[in-house]
Amino acid sequence: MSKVDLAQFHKAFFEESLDGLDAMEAALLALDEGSDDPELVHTVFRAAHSIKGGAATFGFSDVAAFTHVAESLLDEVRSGRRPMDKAIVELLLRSGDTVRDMLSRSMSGQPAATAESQELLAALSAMVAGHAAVPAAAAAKASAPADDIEGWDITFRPFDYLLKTGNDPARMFRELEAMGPLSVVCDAGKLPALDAMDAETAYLAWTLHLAAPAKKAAVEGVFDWVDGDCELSIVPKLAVKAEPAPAPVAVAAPAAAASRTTRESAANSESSSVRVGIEKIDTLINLVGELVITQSMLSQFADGVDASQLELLRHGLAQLGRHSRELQESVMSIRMLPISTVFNRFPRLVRDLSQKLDKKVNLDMRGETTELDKTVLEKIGDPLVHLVRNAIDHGLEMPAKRAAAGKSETGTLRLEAFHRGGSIVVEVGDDGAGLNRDAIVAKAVQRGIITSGDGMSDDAVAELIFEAGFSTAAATTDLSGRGVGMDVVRRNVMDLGGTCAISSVHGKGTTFTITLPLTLAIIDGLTAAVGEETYIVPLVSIVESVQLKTEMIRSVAGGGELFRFRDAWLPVVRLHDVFGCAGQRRAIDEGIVIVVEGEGTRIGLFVDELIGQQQAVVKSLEANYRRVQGISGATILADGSVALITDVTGLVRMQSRRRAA
Amino acid sequence: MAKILAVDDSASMRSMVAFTLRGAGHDVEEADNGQAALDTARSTKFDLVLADVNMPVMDGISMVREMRTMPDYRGVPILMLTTESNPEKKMEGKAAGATGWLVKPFDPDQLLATVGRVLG
Amino acid sequence: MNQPASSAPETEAAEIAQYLTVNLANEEYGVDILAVREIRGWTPVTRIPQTPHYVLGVLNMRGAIVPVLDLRLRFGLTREEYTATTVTVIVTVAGRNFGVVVDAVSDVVEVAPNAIRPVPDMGTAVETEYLKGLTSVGERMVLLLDVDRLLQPQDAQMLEAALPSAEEKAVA
Repeated sequence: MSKVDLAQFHKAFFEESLDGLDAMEAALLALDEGSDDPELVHTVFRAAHSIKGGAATFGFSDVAAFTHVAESLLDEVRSGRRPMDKAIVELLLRSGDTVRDMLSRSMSGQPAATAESQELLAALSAMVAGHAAVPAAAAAKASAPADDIEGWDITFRPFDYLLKTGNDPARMFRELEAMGPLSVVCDAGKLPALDAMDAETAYLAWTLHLAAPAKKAAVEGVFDWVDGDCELSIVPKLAVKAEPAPAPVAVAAPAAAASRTTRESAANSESSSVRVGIEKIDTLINLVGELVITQSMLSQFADGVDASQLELLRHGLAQLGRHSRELQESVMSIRMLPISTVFNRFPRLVRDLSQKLDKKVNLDMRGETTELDKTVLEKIGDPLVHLVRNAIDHGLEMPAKRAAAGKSETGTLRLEAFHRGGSIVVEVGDDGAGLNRDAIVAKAVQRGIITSGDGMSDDAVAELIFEAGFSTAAATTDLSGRGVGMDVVRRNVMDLGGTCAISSVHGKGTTFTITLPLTLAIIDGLTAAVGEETYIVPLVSIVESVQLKTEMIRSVAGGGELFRFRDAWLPVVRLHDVFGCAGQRRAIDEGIVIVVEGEGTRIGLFVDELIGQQQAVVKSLEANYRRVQGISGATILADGSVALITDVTGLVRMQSRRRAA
Repeated sequence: MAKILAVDDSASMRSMVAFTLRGAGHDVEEADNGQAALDTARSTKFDLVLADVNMPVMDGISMVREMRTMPDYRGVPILMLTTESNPEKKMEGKAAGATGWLVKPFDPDQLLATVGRVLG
Repeated sequence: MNQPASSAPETEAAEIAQYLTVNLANEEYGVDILAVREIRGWTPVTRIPQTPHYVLGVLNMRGAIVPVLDLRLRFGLTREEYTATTVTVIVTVAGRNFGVVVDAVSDVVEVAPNAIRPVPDMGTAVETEYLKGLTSVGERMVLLLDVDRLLQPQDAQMLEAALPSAEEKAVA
């Protein structure tokens, strides 16, 4: 059922109760001075009444019990059964102080009642005449033995005004039906001719039979609200005590079972959706991750055993592996949400922006149902907004300029999400003017980022816009220059373990391609040995692994090594050196080079050997320690030891920094 | 889901009722006395009204009586939030045209069960 | 980890603290037992790059990655070898867990606050900033460690502050 935490209303209750006590005190003081305004008594009564109701609802039973007696006394005064006098005013003033004290004790988590409050409660109770509540009477009456009752015969003849009280016979019948099989016979004898009928008048009467041994109180409870608004008779139908004793039991049992089933199915339909805290899901994900690790540990162990039952063990492990994988996938899917939750904001944003800039923009969104991890989704919104703003502000041209260039006056902004391998790709593309190479180069030179653009490829020039503080806007509009540059966009994407690349064709448009991991919790990785240590390289960053021969290496000044890969010369980054691993420095042909890409830049990671591919549950180093350069996290290997996960983008940056130095 | 008007002078009770019902998917508006409730009910048609009895400005029973004279509210269920200590208020409320009652103190589950009962 | 001596008068019981004593290079050190999470025999850890030499690496504590420092190295001593008595004491400070490698665990002692004396400038290799004070247990002298400071000042805080700015410069 509902999971409403009443504690969230406590503060409001305390505050309004203190206000009520102030009003109560002011009214009592006015009464004490001889005022006979009846509204004053009502004010005092209402305050006591509200505090009692709230205290009972929110679980402060001592306060509720105390104010209950005060309220009873006030009710006697209010209804004229007792005159208000100085003694009562005095007692109520003290009661107000006591309730204030009880509330502040409750607020600080202490027991509300004190010896003083008990004493005052006794004094109040003594004053209340004939204070003898009989709340249990109704309940006692209801507990007739239901043993021999097989069902109920009910005749129900509403008075003609019944429908105007908001009570609906059909609703009451549904309640009865929930208790067991119900047969209904309608008596339409009083129904007038159609033209004389009043839709709000009850003409019908019913005879009902409930074929279930329901409790009398439950059956009567259905008609509770219409008591006095109808002729009603509720008669139990007793089971015939026939000679073969088991018979009535056999008859009663299915009816009871049927009634239970009805109630159960009602309960089921209510629990079709569950709201679960993300931290609970994370715990579950961690546990499932451990399960996966255990499974792979057992598998490795099985590889080394040669017992006769090995085949059986293998079979069981395969099954365990399959099940853990499925379990993991379904647990992970709980965290996944469609990217439409982020895309939804763009139609409005694009409309407002294009109006402001007098540009014509057609927004083309695709793949909105593509699902992403909740954490990734929450953090990708801002970078996307920035890219969209940028595209409209700087990418798409004014209608006249577009027309002059032979393009449609209306520019197209494409926002698309799709799967590629184990990643999600989000593209923001426009059919605008494309990047202006000369402007970028001039700006970069002016900013001291480069000395000259000569010899730089178009891609390398485009990459410059990701440098810190870079802006190509000829005029600063109020839409850009909000202190956020493309460098921040790239950094945000990188923090999510993703990459951000740009491609631009002059006159045709620009496309930003963001590649994101499906989830931050698990990665596919290549395990590599470096000296005596093991590192994991995320598969998503790997282009290829190559074995190099010594003669394929060009040494450059400062000790750097380059190798030819496809059309480019890439630097060799020896993980031994970067991570300071123990062990001898190997010759290039004794190990293997993993070509990786980060931020659009490729480098070759030199390791001793590749061990294998595996899924890694990503653990944080920062939770207990801190960030380490070149390392994005850690994972636990099948033998229970810890392996570090390389941060490819970080390594690329470290390399470019070293080259710059 | 249903449009429900919750009327209570106690902000904590009102927010408990509103929070619980919103959690169950209902559209809830609040009013802190009978008069405010009538004003709200004139501009919006509710499927159900839940009203406290004791309130300043206009109490719940007067509110029900008044509401039953409004054509839109003749057959709309109106539940009184009564207390154990005033059983006579149930009958007084019924006489004024209330559909039924919910006895305070109630918890969110009881509230949902009763509202479910009325809305069917 | 309850407070000791429930039979003692309340005020005293609340202030007496229990310390786990550990051996390190023939000295005895006390670690507030409320900070001790678990004690495990020495096992090799996974080294992490770019850390001070006394941070040996990280280990797996039921799925959590926990850094481990060697108290000998932290105090500028040398570690000759890891033996059968070498243990890693896992402590929790400000919600973070880390392991402290010591030569051996020795005892649990109760220390009343008035029995703690300030640390004089003495011949131990230990920098006094990592000590809360010293106390006597019978004939023995116990140096009370301020575990909060062991991993904190130079490493976690300063490096954390230094790292992003280093990257900022690199990009600019």
